[in-house]
Amino acid sequence: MRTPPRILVVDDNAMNVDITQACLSTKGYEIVTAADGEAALIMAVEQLPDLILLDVMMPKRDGLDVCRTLKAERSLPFIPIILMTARADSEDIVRGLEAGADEYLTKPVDHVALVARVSSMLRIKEQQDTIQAQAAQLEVYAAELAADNRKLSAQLAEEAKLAEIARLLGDIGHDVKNMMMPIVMGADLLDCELKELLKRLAGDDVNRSKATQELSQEVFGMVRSNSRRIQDRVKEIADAVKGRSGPASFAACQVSTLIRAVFSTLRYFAEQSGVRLSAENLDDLPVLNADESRLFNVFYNLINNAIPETPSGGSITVDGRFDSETEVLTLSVKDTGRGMPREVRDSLFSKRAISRKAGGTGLGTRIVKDAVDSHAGSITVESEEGKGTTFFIALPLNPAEIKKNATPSVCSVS
Amino acid sequence: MGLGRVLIVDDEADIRKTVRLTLTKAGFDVIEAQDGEAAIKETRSGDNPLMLDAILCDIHMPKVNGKQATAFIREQFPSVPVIIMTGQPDIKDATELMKQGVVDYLIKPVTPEKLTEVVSKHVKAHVYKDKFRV
Repeated sequence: MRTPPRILVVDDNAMNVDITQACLSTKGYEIVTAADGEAALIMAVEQLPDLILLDVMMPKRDGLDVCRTLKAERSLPFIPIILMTARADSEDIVRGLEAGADEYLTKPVDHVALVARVSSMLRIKEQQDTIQAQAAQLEVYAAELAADNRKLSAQLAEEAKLAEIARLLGDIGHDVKNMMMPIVMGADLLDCELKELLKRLAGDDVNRSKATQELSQEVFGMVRSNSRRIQDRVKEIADAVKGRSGPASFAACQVSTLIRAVFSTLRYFAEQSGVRLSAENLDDLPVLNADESRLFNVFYNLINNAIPETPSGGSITVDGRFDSETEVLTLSVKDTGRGMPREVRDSLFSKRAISRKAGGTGLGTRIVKDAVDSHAGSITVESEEGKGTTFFIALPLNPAEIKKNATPSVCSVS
Repeated sequence: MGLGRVLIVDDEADIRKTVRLTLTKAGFDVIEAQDGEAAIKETRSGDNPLMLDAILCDIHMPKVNGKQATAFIREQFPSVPVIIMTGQPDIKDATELMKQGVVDYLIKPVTPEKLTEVVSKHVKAHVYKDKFRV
């Protein structure tokens, strides 16, 4: 509604218009006028008045017709209409109200009554406007909610799809392991048999049997390492998808137990490669709030990658320390391997990590990075070519709290 | 009679075969079961319960899975050592099974040396216990 309210006065009698105008102007209303029904319709659409005072008996279109037309027009906002009728019989009043009028006055119009009716109708108009504005706002909210809803269900569908893929990959991984086992064990069995056979034949031709043994050792080594690679690859892909398919689930986690579990999974591979796995200073560390299976993957990947990098006789050491002031637990994985060149180190945790393993995907380091990120932690690497590589994983004791209080961090470029 | 009788429970025929070849070569008698249900049947066959010195059991199998089979075996034959051999190591599974009294937890693939070593160790302990009724 406007301030001051705009009122359209419609009467074919110019004197009536003047009188009404004079009366209402004293109250500060803005008055526009029309002298017949058609002019009234045009004025109503063009001026969008806040109230219409409408004479019933007029040429061209009478007041009832104008009233019906305006009330039927959906594009117009609510405009209260007061009919002014010369006759005061109830049938007339009923017809007027049926035509959609909101109020009526009988002529000759009593000025006090006119002012009172006008202000009461304007009050209703104001309330109507508020209701309509609220309805419009509600519609906007409803549309926003519907959009959010669509986005959420799309997201849920996406997550369900990822979970399904992760499950499928888990099954494939299980199948692959089952299928690899007869190959690996079969190769070892054959290896044994061949050694025995060669031992028996050794007397005949030492050199030839030695050559055969060397060749078969190489072939068996190839079968073993490639079987391992196939399994590693499947595990990498499954873990990468799993890491993206759901939120991390945090629980109390004892670091020493976790590292022991990783060591026992990799011990055999390490022993075969002549690499010693050791843990230092892990027993006194405080209990960490962490997603155990993700942390397992972090150390599994780091140690699994370090074993082939470390020459026989070398070692891989997991060390831990706790800073009670910052409540950050730092674990390091140190190998005595060949170290990595600068470009490998720099690209290590970027989206396009370069893998140094033959045919590696670099997925392993992605899994590590994703898992450390989900713990609000950080990972850094120090490496010296020929001497070895050390990874440092800093984990806050309580990542959930850090995440809650997290403020957007400022990136500094040095 | 060999060094002892071992039951291998796995749904993969070739895994059963490689385990049988490895352990037979090492001197054990090997019986196969393709899933938990068959394993339970195997342990019950005949009037006398089958004398076993060790059970090697997979976890993920159709019908009766390894965990259910282990629970049954542990209840019926508490003295027989159960060794789990799985392709999907899982900390929760491992803890649950260790609580049930599983003696070892091997992750596939297992090398013949490792398998023979682990089986020998537990079979020896079982035979010893049997002999001296410990």
